[in-house]
Amino acid sequence: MSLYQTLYFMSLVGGMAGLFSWVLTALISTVLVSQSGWVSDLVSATILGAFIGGLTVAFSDHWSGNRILPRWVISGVLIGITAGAAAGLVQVPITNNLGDTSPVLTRLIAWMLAGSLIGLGLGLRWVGVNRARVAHAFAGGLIGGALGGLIFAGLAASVPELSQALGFVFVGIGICFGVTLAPILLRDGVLQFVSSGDPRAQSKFGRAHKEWEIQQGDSYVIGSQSPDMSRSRYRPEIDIFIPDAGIAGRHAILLGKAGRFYVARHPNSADQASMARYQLRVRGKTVVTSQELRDSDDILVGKTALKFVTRREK
Amino acid sequence: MISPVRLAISTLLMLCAASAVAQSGHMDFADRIRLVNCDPSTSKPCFRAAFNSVDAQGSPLDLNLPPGKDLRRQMTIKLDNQEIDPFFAVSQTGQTKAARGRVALILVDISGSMNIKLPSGSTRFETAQQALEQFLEGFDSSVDRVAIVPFESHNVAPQIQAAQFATNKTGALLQIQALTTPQPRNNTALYSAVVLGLQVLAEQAQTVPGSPETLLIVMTDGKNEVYKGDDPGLLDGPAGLQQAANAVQASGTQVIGIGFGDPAGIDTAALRQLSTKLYMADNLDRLKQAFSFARTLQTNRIVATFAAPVDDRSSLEGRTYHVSASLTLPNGQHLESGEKIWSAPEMSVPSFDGKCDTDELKAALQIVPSSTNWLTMLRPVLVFFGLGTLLLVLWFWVPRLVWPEQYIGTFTTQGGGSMRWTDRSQVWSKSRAAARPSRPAPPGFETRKDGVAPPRVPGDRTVVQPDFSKSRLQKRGDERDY
Repeated sequence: MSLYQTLYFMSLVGGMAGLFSWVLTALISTVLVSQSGWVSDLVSATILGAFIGGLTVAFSDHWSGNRILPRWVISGVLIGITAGAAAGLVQVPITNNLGDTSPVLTRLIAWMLAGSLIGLGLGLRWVGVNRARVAHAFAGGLIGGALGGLIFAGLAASVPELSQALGFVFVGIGICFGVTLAPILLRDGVLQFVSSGDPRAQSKFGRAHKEWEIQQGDSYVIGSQSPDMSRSRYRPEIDIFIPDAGIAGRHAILLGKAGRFYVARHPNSADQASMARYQLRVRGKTVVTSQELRDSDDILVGKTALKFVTRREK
Repeated sequence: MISPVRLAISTLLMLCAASAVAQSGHMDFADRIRLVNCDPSTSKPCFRAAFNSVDAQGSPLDLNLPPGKDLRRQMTIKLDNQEIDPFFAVSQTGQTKAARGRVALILVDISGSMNIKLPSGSTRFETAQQALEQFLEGFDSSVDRVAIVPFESHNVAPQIQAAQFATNKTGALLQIQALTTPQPRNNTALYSAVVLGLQVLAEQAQTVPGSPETLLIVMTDGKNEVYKGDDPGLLDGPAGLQQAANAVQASGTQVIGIGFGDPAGIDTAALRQLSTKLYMADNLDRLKQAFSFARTLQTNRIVATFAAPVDDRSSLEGRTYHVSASLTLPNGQHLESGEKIWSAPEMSVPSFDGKCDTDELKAALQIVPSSTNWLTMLRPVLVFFGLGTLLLVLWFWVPRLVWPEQYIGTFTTQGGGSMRWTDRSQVWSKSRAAARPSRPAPPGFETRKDGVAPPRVPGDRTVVQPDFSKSRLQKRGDERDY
């Protein structure tokens, strides 16, 4: 899946999460008819966070890895719940102070707060790989929240349910768009899948022209270790997962440093036996320790051919 | 002897004065505007507003109000710029049977300064104890719940949270007698006491059926003062005052502040910020009067219930109403209220604040048109399916237009299985297919000239080579060393 396809589908995932959370919120408000206003908002923001957190993690892992780990999805849900609840609680004093004098602004702030905090929580998943992703997820959520809030405040009088549902959908789209757009905007290089001798990798990435965005200052582990082997609670340990039998669990590291990009053998596969078994070649030459990458370099990892493209050629 | 001219002038002046006093009367909101559920009489959401009629000084006015039906006709509610006639209105007094419960919490300052003696010879504290009894006049065991709690700067939270709401006058009197005598080391945690008092009051109101009318009375002789040695985390300074004032505003509860003692020693500005009504007293009679006013404000209320100008609760989402009311008295005098805002939650559908009582339900049944609207029930379903369909189209159909090369379909083969085909699939004739250039078969799969594949032997290995045809690796074949 290309970067723009990922952006498109992840935005739709956010929209779906928003729609599902609206349905659940509407059902709850039908059952619980006597609760304080701030509790209603807290419940809404929490449900929104839970759905966006869970679905974003699930779909992101589905497209980048080979399976969806329930514990990561649960982590996403929990982080979404925490962020949503925090937004609901932070909103209380804002409503108390501003509610009577500027109701529209207060409403807008509530939506922006929910969107930005949920986005922030989700962005934390990629903080190890790409710190800017946190800021972008936050900004995406903020924009999505503002849009959702504007729709809610503007359309509520004429189309009540639709306005709230659209508000939720746009907040979801905004957050997921922000989370996904960050690496696309900030990418300094792209690793493109060309083809693979392993049918699993070819089947997964060949038709979709898979691309991985690479950013200066970050390091990405290339490997075939299945996510269920990972010990992390929230994110995969392998950033560029390729299901190729010729690729070691942790095969190589691709890193951007001081304006240059390098590919190096991962310490776990740097011994003689691993070097013999797991190929790592750049421009046809075997990489023993590390190798600087240049624009349009061909990389052979295991039986998979990749192409590195950068716009920062020095 | 008084001349007729002087008599006429003095009569005219008295009339003018009386008129001026009457005109200065107005209505104050006695409670927050509540969204109430009048189902099954009507599915329309309804609002209930409670008012006190007061004079310019904030003292309760004793008005000769018309009975229920007439009162309803004399009242007009303004919702933004829309005038609405309430379907129910009642003037509650201490003598009439209350429709809803009444919950009151009285916070009594027992800081060291409450031991100061008044000219009467009693201390402020003793005087307060005497005056408090005034509030219990007309105590109605069936609706009233009152707690009298002391506060200073030690054990503030445990003391207020342990408030026991008496359900009879004897119990309340015992609480007054049991008030702890002020100690010299006691300071005044006024701001924290107000916040905690509101919480306790809200919790107590939850336990009373319906939506009871709540009242918080804060009596103090000084200002917020907390020092080292007092409870940790007590609110203080402008931030503490703001926090407490926000809590008062958010609760919508009627808070009556009573400043007792030397006005110079009382932080009236803070007390005014913390209360919806403020009375000052410097002797027993004035203090009794203040408590009497407080009691009257709790018992004497004009309650009006009116239907919202929408069909269902969901239609209220995202709305903010500026509500005000006017009442025409039998003598032609108009009482106007200030403006109060009702606002739906920021992100969700507003919830009900309570249910209509029996009288309100009866009135609603007669007056409010039934609004069973199928669209109201269908609307959320339509929204879900509409948006769901849109998302499905965006997920499954639009990408096929944008990235057609990546989408393949399936068709059923003659054998009953299914095969996949791309959008760019074409049916080729046999000769064209034979002429189609193809990549050489991998080792072991080569076709002999006679069209028959050579038999595989046990030593044969199948090796699948990566396809570098689309990569630059192919172009740089000469340079590399595989």
